[in-house]
Parts: sequence; C-alpha cells; structure tokens
Amino acid sequence: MEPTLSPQSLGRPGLLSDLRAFGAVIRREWIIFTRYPSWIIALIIWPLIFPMLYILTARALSGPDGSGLTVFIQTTGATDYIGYIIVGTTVWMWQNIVLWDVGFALRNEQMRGTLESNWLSPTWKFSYLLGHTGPQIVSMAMFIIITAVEFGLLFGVRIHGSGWMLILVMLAAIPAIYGLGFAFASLVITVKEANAFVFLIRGLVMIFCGITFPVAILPGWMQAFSKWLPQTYLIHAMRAAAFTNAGLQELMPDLIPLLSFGVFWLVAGYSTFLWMERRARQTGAIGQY
Amino acid sequence: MELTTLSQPNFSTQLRALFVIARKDWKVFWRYPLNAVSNVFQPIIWITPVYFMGKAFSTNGQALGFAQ
Repeated sequence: MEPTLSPQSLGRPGLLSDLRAFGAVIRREWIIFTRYPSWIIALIIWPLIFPMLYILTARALSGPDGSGLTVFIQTTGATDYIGYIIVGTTVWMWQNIVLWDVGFALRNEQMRGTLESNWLSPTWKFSYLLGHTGPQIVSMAMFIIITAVEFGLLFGVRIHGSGWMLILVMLAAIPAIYGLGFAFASLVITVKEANAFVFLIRGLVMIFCGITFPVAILPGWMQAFSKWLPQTYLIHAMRAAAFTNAGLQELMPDLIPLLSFGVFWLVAGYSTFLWMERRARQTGAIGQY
Repeated sequence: MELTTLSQPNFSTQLRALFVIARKDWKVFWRYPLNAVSNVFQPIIWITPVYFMGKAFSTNGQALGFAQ
C-alpha cells in the first residue's frame, strides 16, 4: 500500500501568527522611520510654517490699533486668537499627514516592490495597514507636543483648560481620522494616483471645519455640510478643552458624534480594505503599477 | 583605434531632448485627469478660509482693522 501524502502549507494562520505579522510590520516601519532622521527638521519647521500663514493674516486683519481683533474675539469667544488658530491648523495638519502617510502606505510599499510578495504570504493582510499606524501615531504625538512647545515658547500660548480633557478629545478622534486613512489607502491602491483626493479631503476640512474661524459665520448650507465632517467636532472640542476649561459634560455634544464617526469610518475603512483585497485577487491589481 | 560615439551632441539635439522630456511630462500630467482638474480648485480651497476669516474680523462687512 502506497503512503498518502496530504499537501500542507508551512504557514499556519492563527491569532499568534497574525500578532507576529502585526509586530513585524510595526518594527519594520519604525526602522524605516528612524533610518532617515531628516524628518526631525520637518517636525520642527512645519508646526510653525502653516499656522504662521493664518496668524500673520489675523495680525493684518486686526489693524495697527487691534480694533479688528476685538471684533474677532466677540465673534469667536476666544481670548487667545493664536491658540484658536493653532488648534484648527493642527487638526488640519494631522488629517493631512495621515492621508499622505497611512493613505499612501500600501501604494508606497507597492512602489518599493515588497507589497506583492508580502501579499502572497499567509498573513493577516490588514496588519500591513494597521502596523503602519502605530509609528504614525507616535510621530504625530511628537508633532503635536512640538507644536505646543514652540507656540508656548515663541508666542506665549498657554493651555488654560484641562490637558487631560485635551488628550481625551484627541484619543476620541483617532478612530475617525485613521479610519478615513484606511479607506483612503484601499482607494489609492485601486486608482494608483490619488493626490487629487488628498487635495479634495483636506480642502473640505480647510473650508468647512472652521480651522481659523467659527463655523457659525458660514452660510446655512455650509454649516449643514460641516456637521458631516468629524474634524468640525474635533476642533470645537479641542478649543473648548484647551481654553475654556470645559469638562466631560460640556464636551459630550462633540465627543458623541466624534466617536460615532469613528465607528463609521473604521467599519468603512475595513470594508473598503476587504473589497480591495477581493478585487486584487480577481484582477491582480496589487501587481499593477 | 580612435573611439567615436554615435551621438553627436549639438544645440539641435539638446533642444530635441528638452522637447521630448516636456512632451513626456505633459502626457503623464494628462494621463491622470483628476489631478489636472484638482489644480483648478486649489486657489478656491486656499483662499476661501482667508475670506471667512476676514468676515470674523469684520463688522457689517467692513474690515476696519485691515483698512487702517
């Protein structure tokens, strides 16, 4: 009698192997991140350059006697116009960086030539994207801390509210901001050149979410549209937590929609990823440049 | 034996190379029409927040501070 040989794969997918793949992606991204230390220069310069555009505009609009500033303070309720602007511009930069970093994670790996071979391995595919997010959150936290330190030292901006509430609001925003990044990453791998989509999404945040002005001064239809963007709630809640000492109770009207958007975008991001994975298997899109 | 190259660079070949590169870039640019269209909207995207910011500094449509 001849012995039967059943073909077996060397890969044995399970929770542990998925975790190992996830850890390996985090480690790889961290090595790449620290291998090119020139990002430190960008980390120091960018938090200053973009907000300065609006801070200098605000100074010009205030006039030599500061009469315009009195109107701005009455309109916004903000006592520190620099702090008011920094919160909005930081949220914009956060979303912008996530779209370029997480959104283009798979595409960059494809261009590097490693995506297709990794994709063929019996690993949890979503870990390629999720693993990229860990080092990105660390670098983004550094970006926000450097922003706070620079504007504290150079412009005397101080947080009058609760730092813990500010952190809580930012943590609540992570699912919405990164969920959008996940959905975006799958879209990018499908359409290849997606710079226009980044410009569109960050443009919507710039116009509708009130990064440098209160949403209340927008026309009615624009205010209605702004309610569908999580960044509107994030900016409002961050300003309230940082400068008006708002507690959990006061922040709830912003936190609830922020978390709801988070659930929506995480589900949308994961679903888009699964759709892209299926499509890639059928059309060979992973190997197409 | 003296080595000679087949290419004979002169002003005309330089111009041709310049033209070919410009043509290639032009083709790549229009290969992704969405990127080209998005360029049209860039001025609107960057100017609109400044317009609304100006409104936040104005009373009855008058930016008196800026006018000074």
